[in-house]
Amino acid sequence: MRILVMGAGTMGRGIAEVCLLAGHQVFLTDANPPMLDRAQTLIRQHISREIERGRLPVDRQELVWAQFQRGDDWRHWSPDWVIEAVPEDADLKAAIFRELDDIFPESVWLASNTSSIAISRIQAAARRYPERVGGLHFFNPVPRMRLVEVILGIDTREEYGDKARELVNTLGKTAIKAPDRPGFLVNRIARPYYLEALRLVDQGVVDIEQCDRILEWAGFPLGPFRLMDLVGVDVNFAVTRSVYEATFHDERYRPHPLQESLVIRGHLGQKSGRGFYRYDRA
Amino acid sequence: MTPWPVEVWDDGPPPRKGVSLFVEGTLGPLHHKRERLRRMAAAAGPDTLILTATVTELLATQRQWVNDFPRLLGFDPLLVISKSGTLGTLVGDARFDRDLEKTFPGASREWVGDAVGLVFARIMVSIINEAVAFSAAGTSAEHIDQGVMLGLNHPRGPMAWGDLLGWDQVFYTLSALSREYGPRFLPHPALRRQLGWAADALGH
Repeated sequence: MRILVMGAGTMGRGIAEVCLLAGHQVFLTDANPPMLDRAQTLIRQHISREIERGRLPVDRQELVWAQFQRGDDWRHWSPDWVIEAVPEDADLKAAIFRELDDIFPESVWLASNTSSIAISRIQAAARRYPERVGGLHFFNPVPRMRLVEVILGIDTREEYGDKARELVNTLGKTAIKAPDRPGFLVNRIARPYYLEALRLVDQGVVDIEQCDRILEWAGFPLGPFRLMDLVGVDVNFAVTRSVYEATFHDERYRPHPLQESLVIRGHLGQKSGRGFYRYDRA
Repeated sequence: MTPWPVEVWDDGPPPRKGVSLFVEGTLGPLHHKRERLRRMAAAAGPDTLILTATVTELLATQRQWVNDFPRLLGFDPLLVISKSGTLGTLVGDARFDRDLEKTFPGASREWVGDAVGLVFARIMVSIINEAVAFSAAGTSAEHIDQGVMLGLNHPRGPMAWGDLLGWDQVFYTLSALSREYGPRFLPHPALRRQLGWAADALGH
């Protein structure tokens, strides 16, 4: 298949990489050219590592790269799928989908990798063929996480679900159909893991380390605070905030001031050397 | 978990003398729990410890039920069910820690503040309640669990957690949490429909 990936950040780069390794033709584009350079370098490194580990035959490397294109002349390409992975900005996404819908024929499937914006809202920007627009929500890090949520908006054709599942299967991943609700399925169900932990600490029932230990006893690979530090306190806060806004302030999803304080101070977790815990960056 | 003899006591005559530890694991209905706890306190000797589930009622309140019985400690039975070899979260006078170590040698434990739902139960039933909302809206239990396990690396999916902990226990815990902290913990109506009599016993 021919897949156009829009956005060369962490998610777009990961999606491009798994599509390439699955044997698809990939066109990667980004409004910011240095992002494309960086994405290409990282994808090359990852593919070399796959070869070193024996997961990809040496002679496949050049074949894989022959399938890769990048740049800003994507409008003249003929994709089967477009997967958008630009930052979580509803207006930006709407502008992109308006243009994609204007340029590409009805046979091209359009997918957004949004983690929290309603697909029906994005779909509304596609004035010609909104029924070919849906969601394909990959998880970070894309090469390692096996799940992809497939989301149909109000107007999405049922066939989109079948086609999306076919594509996801070729990537060696598992597709589950998630409803078009704020946070979809996984991010929505995940909220109490973080929010109740924050409230428990705030109420003085436990401290951060105790809370992590208790959840880890129960079999969770990382307690809520260690996990927030790993994924990024800012990322976690943004998703919570988005779900809270999109549910018209359902108090179950109310973000916690402790998270906001850490974000304002730049204590974003492991990536900044400090979050709920301190990390030795030496 | 303990090398000492264990006897199960429900509604029959009191057990023989010399019991060193009673465990009261009822989550609901609370009037049953109160009666059982009172009978245990009446049967307790001067050195007997009582470990009572404090997921659906504060330890402070339960202590009042038994006239300030001094050797009353709280615990979270849902965490014990989830992970063998752990006593999990404990509430009360930590000076009794040595007695517990004697009874449950090597069992990991963490002393926390007195709060309805404690830690694990409060977080877990909230996740399960979210999952029930998806189930009620038509997403299959299999998809819900698969999504959560693959997308979040949870050790089991929320619907499987519900099966393991017991849906009635999930309901009792959510009801107690909503009574204590407000409507964000209200059990999803589908849970009440599924349980029928157990929900009615709580007056819902």
